[in-house]
Amino acid sequence: MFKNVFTKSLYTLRWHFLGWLLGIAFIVFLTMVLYPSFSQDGIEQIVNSVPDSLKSLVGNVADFKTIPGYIGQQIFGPNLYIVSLIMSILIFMAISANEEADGRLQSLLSFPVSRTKVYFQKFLAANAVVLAIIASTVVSLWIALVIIGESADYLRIWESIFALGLVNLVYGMLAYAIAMATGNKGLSVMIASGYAVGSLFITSLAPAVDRLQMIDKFSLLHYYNNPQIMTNGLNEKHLVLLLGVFVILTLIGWIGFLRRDVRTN
Amino acid sequence: MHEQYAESMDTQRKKPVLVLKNVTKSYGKDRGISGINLSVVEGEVFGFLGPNGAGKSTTINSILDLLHLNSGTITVFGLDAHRDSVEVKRRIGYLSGDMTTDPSLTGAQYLLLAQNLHGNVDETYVAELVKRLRCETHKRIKSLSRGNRQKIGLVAALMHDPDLLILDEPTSGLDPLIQSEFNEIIRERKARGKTTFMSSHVLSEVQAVCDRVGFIRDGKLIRVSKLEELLQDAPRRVSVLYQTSAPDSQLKTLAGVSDMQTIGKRRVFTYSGEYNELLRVLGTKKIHDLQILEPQLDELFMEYYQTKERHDV
Repeated sequence: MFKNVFTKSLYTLRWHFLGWLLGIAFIVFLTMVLYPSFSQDGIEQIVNSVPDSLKSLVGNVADFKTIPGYIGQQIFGPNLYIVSLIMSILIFMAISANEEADGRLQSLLSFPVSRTKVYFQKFLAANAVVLAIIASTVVSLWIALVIIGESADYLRIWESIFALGLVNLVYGMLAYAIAMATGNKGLSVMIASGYAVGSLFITSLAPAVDRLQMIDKFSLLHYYNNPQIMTNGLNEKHLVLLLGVFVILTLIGWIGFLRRDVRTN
Repeated sequence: MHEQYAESMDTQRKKPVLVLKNVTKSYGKDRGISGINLSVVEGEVFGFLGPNGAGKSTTINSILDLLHLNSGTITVFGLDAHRDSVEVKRRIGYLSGDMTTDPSLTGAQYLLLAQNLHGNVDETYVAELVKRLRCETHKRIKSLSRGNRQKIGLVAALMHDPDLLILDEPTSGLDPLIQSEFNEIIRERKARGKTTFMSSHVLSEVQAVCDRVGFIRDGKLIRVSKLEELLQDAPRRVSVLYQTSAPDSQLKTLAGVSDMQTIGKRRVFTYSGEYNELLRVLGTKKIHDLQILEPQLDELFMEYYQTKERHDV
């Protein structure tokens, strides 16, 4: 567990991993086992009573009637990604700005280990933890589907998990890149969480508010699950765009980290 | 005189381990270090002295490539401290004044991590250090006192028997027994030709182990000297007990006398002048007891920095 920066970072993130894994698994399981209640006719009236501007958060009535629609909207929709984006930002912050703020990065860099190695091994650890947590949702889904006696297209589920994992990594990477390039904890929290909250609102409201549709193009959430992956499959262009942003952020963080002073006590 | 010359020639012959040339690192107005030139040779124990904020830690963090220089160069074992930083750090052991790591690790886990990061560590030597410094390796770092954390940090810094040990106020919080053990380890290293560069506030510790000292003030290195040469010129405390009365009026006007205290028939003062003249003045009255105390680095330190403060006022 203490062989290198990667394994040490996994150890640092162990409680994050366990806590978020259980929390997200619980949300997914609970949402899925409630499907039979939502698919009944009564829900139609409730959904129709929601104002148009909030419909994209709640979903379409039709989505509650089919398993793919329900999973696409309720499992891989805002309910889950609101929580998972917070998780990703916190996980990436835990191994970057938090460690620098309390002097642990200074201590680590006094050992014979290059900044590049530190940057990428921490990066790999955070990516691995976020992806493992997101991927574990498939287990909760499977158990819940067995309990309610339903089945689903697992290829589509894995595709949705892939896209959710990617969008989470991009938001986490935004926090990590700023933290590693500047060493400023406050700035990275402010920009990453501010952008996440902003993009969440814009992408949720854009379908109902024409003036937001242009700004929505700058929200990375616009490129996730749009159109719904469970019914339409992956949108390759969106994936390429998200991957591109991820790579650019990775490079910005790395170059910034190589060129700056490390915060010292 | 001949001995001093021979020693000086000997120092010049030794290989330079750490060389700073015109090193400047600025953090903005009045902060950082400026134009530092310094060379530390193989087997030397160098003490780096100065008050808080003088630039000691900035210098050390620049050597470790944690800070990037504005100008100048730092070479360690002939390698560039920035370009070859990983190779340089393989041969360096470092401990800061307040050892920091993941507080949930036990001492043993931290040492295992340090061992893996250093590579090529002799486990028997680690066990010996743990025993000598009486480390509590089974406890979590967060439950250890500052002194006990420092002991774990010292083991991590020493475990690969580094050619250059860099310590930034290392003994804060250590009890006198461990402090003495620490001094012993530094002397043993010196005997094996290993180099140590340490900043410290504990002047007695510097006096006990260092060969040379450098004084830094406001980011500038103001004096580098061998400890013995430094102490030779240092003011000394003089304590005289008179049988009847003391030659107070003569003492007060004698050049080099300061900080005079009167305790009954005893006069205690600091003296930094001609000793023949002092003895002449003291001898004008009948002396019962006379002590001229060993010079202390503290006196010199105070003289350097208090003088500056007085000038500033």
